[in-house]
Amino acid sequence: MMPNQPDFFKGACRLVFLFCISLFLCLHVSAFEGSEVVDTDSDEMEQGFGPVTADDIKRGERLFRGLVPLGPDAASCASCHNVNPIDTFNWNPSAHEISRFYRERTAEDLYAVVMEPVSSKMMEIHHTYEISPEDMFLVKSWMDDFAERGMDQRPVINNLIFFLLLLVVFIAAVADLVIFKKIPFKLLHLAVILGAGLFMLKTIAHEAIALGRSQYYEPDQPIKFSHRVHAHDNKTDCLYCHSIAEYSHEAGIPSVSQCMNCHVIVREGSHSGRFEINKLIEAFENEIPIRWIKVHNLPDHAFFSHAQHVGAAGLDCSECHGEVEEMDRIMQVSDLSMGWCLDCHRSTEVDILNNEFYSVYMQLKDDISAGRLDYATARETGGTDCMKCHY
Amino acid sequence: MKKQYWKSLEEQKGIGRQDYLEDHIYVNKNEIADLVDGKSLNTSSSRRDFLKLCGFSIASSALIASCERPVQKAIPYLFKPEEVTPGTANYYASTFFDGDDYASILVKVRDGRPIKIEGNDLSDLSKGTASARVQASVLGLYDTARFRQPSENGAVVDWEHADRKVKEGLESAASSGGKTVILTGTVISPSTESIIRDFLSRQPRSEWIQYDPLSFSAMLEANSRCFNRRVIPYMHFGKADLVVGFGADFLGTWLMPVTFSGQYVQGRRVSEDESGMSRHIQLESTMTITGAAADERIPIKPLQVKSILRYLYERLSGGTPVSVTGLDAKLDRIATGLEESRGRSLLVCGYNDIDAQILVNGINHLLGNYGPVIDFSTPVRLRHGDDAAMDRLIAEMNNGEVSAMLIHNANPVFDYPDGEGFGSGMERVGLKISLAQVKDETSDLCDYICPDNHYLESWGDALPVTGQYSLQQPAIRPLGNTRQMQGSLLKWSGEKDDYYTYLRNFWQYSVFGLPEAGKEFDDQWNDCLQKGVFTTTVPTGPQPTFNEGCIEGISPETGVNAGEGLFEMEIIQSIAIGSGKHANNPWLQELPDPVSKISWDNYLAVSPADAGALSLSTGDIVRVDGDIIIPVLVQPGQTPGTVSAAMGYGRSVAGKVAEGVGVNVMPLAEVVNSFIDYRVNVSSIEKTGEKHKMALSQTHHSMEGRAIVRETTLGEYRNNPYAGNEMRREILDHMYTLYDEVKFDGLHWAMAIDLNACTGCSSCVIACQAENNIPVIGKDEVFRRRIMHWMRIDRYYSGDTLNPSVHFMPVMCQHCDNAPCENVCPVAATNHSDEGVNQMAYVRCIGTKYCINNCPYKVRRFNWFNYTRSDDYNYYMNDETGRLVLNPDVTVRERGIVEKCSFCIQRIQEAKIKAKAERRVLRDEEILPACAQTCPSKAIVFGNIADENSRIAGIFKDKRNYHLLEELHTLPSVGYLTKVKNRQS
Repeated sequence: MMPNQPDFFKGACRLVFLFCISLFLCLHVSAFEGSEVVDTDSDEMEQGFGPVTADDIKRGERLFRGLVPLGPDAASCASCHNVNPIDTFNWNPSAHEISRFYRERTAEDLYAVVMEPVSSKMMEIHHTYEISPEDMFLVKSWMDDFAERGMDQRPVINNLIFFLLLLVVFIAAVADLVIFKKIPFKLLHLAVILGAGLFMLKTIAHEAIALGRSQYYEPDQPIKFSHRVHAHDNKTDCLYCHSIAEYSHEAGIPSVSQCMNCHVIVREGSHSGRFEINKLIEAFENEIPIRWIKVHNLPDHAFFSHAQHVGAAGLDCSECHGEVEEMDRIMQVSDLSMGWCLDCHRSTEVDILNNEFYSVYMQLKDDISAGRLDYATARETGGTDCMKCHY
Repeated sequence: MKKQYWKSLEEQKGIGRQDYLEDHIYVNKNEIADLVDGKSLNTSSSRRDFLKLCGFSIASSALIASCERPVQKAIPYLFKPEEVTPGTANYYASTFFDGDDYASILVKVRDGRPIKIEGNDLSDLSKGTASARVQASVLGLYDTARFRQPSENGAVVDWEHADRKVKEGLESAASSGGKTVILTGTVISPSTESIIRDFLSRQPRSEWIQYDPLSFSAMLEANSRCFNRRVIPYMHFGKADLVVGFGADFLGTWLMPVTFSGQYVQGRRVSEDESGMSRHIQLESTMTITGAAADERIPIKPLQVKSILRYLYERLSGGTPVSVTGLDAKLDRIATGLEESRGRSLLVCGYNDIDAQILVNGINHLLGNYGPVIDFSTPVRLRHGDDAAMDRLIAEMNNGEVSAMLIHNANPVFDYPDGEGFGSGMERVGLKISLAQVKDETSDLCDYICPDNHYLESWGDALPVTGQYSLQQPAIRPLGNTRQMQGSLLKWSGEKDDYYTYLRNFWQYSVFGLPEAGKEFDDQWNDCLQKGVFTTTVPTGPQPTFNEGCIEGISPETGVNAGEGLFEMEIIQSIAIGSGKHANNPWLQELPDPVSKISWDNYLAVSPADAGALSLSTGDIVRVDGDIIIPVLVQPGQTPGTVSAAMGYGRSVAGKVAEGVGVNVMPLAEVVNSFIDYRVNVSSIEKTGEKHKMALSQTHHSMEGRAIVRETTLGEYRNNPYAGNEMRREILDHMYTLYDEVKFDGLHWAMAIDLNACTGCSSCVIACQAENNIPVIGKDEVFRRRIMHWMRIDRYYSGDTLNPSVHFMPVMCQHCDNAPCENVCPVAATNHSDEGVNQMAYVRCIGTKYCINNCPYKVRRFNWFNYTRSDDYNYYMNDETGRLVLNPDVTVRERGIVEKCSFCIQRIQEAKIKAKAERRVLRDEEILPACAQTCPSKAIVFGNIADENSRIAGIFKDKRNYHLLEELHTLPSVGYLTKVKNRQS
């Protein structure tokens, strides 16, 4: 049956090898997925600061990280302004963000802002600081360097290592079972092969399903806009900002001018001080559009209309977007997969008795009034047709 | 007896399919044989290859799949304009006029980009419809051949520099005593006329010449002599019981085809209760769609027309007619018919021949048609061109009398018979300024290019027909550093105002007649701007008196050269390309001619009789009159002894699409007695022995001899409304099925096409292409019969090859309720929706093409290559500017998948969502697919047949209604209405 055994093995080995490579690549790349690459415009920056030595930079870093105390009971800069990437949401600008902001400004500017803060949030923390202008110069030197270097990428730790380990064990078990035959207990082989195989299969299936989806995607936005502050604390209606959701395919991100309706007065945030709102003012004054990071991405071949779901069906935003009013940083809650859409279309009741549009569905209305059907779902009115979304 | 229908001459002669394939299949037969035998496969290492491929594909697919999610940015407006809602389209009323065609239009603007043109339903002229060329004009906005900035002798300059130089040049031209000439196409904008007159009044020794490549100069002159009115009267085709056309393709290319089609078809609607149907006789040399629509078509030689008209005139005026060979009996019949419908008939003549036009006027006058059918009180202003002035201008240029020239919307180097003379004359003109928007042969010879905006970037107005104003407004900011031609002239005249201010002032004083600007004016202006049209009542005075003397003034010469072996050639316009102004538009180039079904070429149409005598066949290259080399098409219905070819092709400076496509035949035309004569005697047609590959789409999808088009005559229809459609009853009687009948609750979309109304004008094809992002694939691919149009117009001939009947049938996906394609898809990418639409999920398609093979209508299209991104298809979709025209509501399809008509599902969905949100019932005919929306003759009706009261449900019950190949029990959702011709048999 197999005239060419060695050839077959070679081929099989190659296949396994390639498969591993592919899997590795796949896992590796998806681990980086969504992590924004910070573009560091490497403009010349040291002009006007005098000679900065490597030692200055090192000392500046130590000051920033709090290794050298800045004052009695003073918190270190780094305790609020994170130097490394973090998972949690930080209301305060990160060290990198401040560094980039002050790259074109002088140490004196920085000193003034740090030592004589205008926002109440900063005043609360900064009032204990005792920093000399010289120290500030050192901090600034480090910050300039940091602005250019960018934040370190966090090391990617996931179950890839575990997967590879299992793979080795798996291959060893197979090899021993078929070729070497060193270990006499066949049951052991079987257990290892089964256990490792099943786990690997599960991992592969899991990763494959997650391909192209980004549930729980929660990137840092250019401005720390909090839906919690706006929609929950201040009780702003979703449709005040996303005003076109009822009429258009898109929900629409409000224009900068619309933000300024309120922020022309509100200049200081309850958590973020002035730093974040200042970005908005700056965008408005310099007429530079804000480049938000899109969180909810549907593939191009799927047409979704907010007008249909919000306008016509009257769905609540949270049905798809989750408890947005509890989110400081917007996150994709649903996986936005086709199965998820269809589940809803199969179970959501359509208001066919009251909406005149559905008056043409005679049969359906008869069925409901005769009790043959409890209620009509989107499926009954064609909500699971391909061309409802794909055209 | 069953009528014999045939699609091509080969089929008519009974040449078998195999012979045909051998002649026409493009691929190397040996290649196929090798593939079939497996010779080209190296069998020895197939398993290893297989494993390698497996590994590679897994690796690459994993890599590709996992890389697909880059960080996407969402950038909102800084300041959102009040009227813009991202994700929804705005429609702006505007005006299209390119010197040939006029249309009041609505521009669909999505996210700041104009993406589609539609007719303005408030316009009395177009009634919401538009021609193929108007539909396609949106692509011209994104044409990469457009001038982006002003230039001086090829070097880019800024406007300040250009303005200074031009002003200096004009001053020195005036001081040298030389003449300044403004050469334009016909100008129908009243404000532009005023600007040009102002300019002329400031420039000493200046003259304005309007030039039409499609000249109506003879008709203007004839009316001037007969009625003392140098205008084109308004012709009501709908009011005539008998229309007799002499070489006037008024449904396709002549004057206002869209308006005329609407009127014409209105007069020819038949139903069981309506009794009247107009009659139409067409005399022409080549087969046009107007000839195809006619109840009787008489092939004539183009130069014969004068004797024919003379005969008719004498017959009707009681004189002694001079016999016209072979046509007397037919002409007598026409004369009788005309006499019977006095005051209710209409003669139109499309030849630019002064004598013929005077005779036509004479006959129309004898019949009393002026007043009831032809109206001088609301003249058509679409042609002002004076051939005599043009003739004189060339002489003056060559004599060195012209020292400065401004050229706008005119390309005489290309489309004037003596283009060469014009070109050599230009060398003697000191200052040549081109105000063109796209590069052309004439602008190529100019010193200064002061580029005009595209019409979608411009302000403007138009007065196409007296009393019917329309406004033009920009739908986008200029894409380049261009300036409107009116703005340039104002600047050079030393005016302070920009054109927008000028236009508003002009309308205030001259159109609305308001003494001052204020709220009243603003309201009126905004109202007009929103509606696009403004109609003033024109009093219908008495028609001008006919000057009998002008008939006597006609020269006795017939113009016919009766030599043996001579051919009379007629230079015609094709529906797509027209005068060639839009030749760089790939949509138009790929649009198959409705009659010949050829795209990407012009050709010499030869009668089958002559082809036999000269042993010519389609594709042979011939030399005409020694210097024009052109391929031949054997055209059934072409009058023996005549040939014809379309102008507008053979552009040498036009852009990447048009250059090198076809042959310019205008140099064959002549200027006779100061009129451009598009009919010439050709002394020789020699076969060169070479063959030309022509992209024929006619044999794409042969119906293999089955009676697809059903037709009858008015007489038979009156006796039996099922006439011609007897088969339908038979099929209905025999329709049994073991399965449950498919039932639709609520919505069931369906379409009906009235074959009696369809003229074959092909507007729907382009509308569909624009709406649905259908790629252009180029001549080679069309030749391989891969044309992507979702909507095709099948053309069938029946009867005599020398004068066949021609039938058009638009065919798109029939959305069968028992669809053969759906059963065979292995991945269920195509299936039936709850609303009766045969849906196609592109992402699911894996390209097996089983559905294509199983579709009896052959309406499914396959993306053989990456037509949308690859530089091998360098038309518009591969460049970033060209892609701006794409409709964001329709997926751009990948390589390797199948696509087809979706009934414009995006429009259905949009209308449904709107109705749902407003909690109301969908109105009948609220949803219009792009084809139905644009159809000039309103032949296409779309609606919900589940609603008993809808118009479409009524049509489906009509006795003329039938379905294509319904004997297959595919249960199509598209119905056709039997064609009815107004003749005896």
